[in-house]
Amino acid sequence: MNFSLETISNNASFVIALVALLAVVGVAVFYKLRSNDLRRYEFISIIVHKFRNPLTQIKWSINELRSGETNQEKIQIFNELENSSDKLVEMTSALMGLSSMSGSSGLTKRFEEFSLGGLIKEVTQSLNSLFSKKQIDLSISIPNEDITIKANKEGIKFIIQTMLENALAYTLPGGRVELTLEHPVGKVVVLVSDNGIGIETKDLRNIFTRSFRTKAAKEIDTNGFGIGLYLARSVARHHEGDMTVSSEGSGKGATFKLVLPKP
Amino acid sequence: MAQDPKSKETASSLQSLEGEINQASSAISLDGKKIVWVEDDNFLANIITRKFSATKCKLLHFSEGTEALKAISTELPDAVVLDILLPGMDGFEILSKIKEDPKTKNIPVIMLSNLGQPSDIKKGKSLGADHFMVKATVAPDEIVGQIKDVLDKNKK
Repeated sequence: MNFSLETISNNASFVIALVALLAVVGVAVFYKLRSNDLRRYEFISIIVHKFRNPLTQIKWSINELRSGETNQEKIQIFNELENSSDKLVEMTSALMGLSSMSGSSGLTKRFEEFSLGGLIKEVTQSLNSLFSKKQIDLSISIPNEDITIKANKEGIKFIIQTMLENALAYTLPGGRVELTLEHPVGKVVVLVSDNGIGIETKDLRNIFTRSFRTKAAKEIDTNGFGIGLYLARSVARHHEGDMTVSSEGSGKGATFKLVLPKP
Repeated sequence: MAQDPKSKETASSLQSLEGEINQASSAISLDGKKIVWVEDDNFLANIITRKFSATKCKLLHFSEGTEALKAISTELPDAVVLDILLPGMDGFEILSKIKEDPKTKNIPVIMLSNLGQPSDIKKGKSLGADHFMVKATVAPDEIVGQIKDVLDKNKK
């Protein structure tokens, strides 16, 4: 098959339009049905399934178009399109995972023992290329001894991923992000610090509020929904843990802290 | 919350390698094998038909369960690939009927759906599915590879 760059570009526009549609519908669903948790999560499951069908069409089409392609410029565009599509699929999986975790009973049923250090390494590894691309130095500090916790693995993964993606979004190129895992008696603590745009004192108390985004955050990243930190803290609280944030103000970076109990 | 698209390595050496891998996986042969595929999305079915033409297998595509079951019973394919959400009979019901029939119960079945909750996977496996894949997370080459694996496993 012979496709021009214009055609490919049109495909890219389609993906971008789809992203926008997903954002609008997703947020609408989130609010519209918030009064009834069960109905909301059932509805999310249906919407997720509906989203995955066109995403499958996009992924499989890209795969077919790229197969046997020798033009490196086109291959790169196909790869980027596939990355966008995969990212949307990941979002649907995260939504699906969160919907299945709704309520403490759902969480408890899916508790398992796992290495928190191992999970952190897995998440940072998956995000490394994004940090490199933005020229942000990502460092992690994990104790040598293996720290295992009993929790919902997908939920904790979502929290760590959210903390890191947040730091990535709001740190300027050339900046640095540090993740530290600590294990004081009776709990584990994950700290993600950055030297990014920081948070004004007046905004700190709202940072975990649903759909809240600071003015500076909206300027630096226009695509955010403002629900990631809200959901992350909800998951932490389902585990009888919590999330907090500290910042010395605008332009002075921020530190997000996850605390989980460890009996 | 940032939702930056994840980037992949795009160095030309990696791209070349990816091209070779693509071509290698496209070259998987299912020569002489008969596969029944139940999928109601025509767009996906067309892609799959083109993909499978390169594997030299005989692909029988159906968009609903009744006709598919008739063909499975008469054609006795080497493997069945089943979507779950279908018009009329759903994929779980089709799977149950395949496994209830002594003639067809040993035919390996791969569930390929965009439902991917643990409860869906558990249900599919408890009904006798050999493998469960989520459509949006796999490329057609991986599906071909999985069919090959299932056929090889069943041969042993």
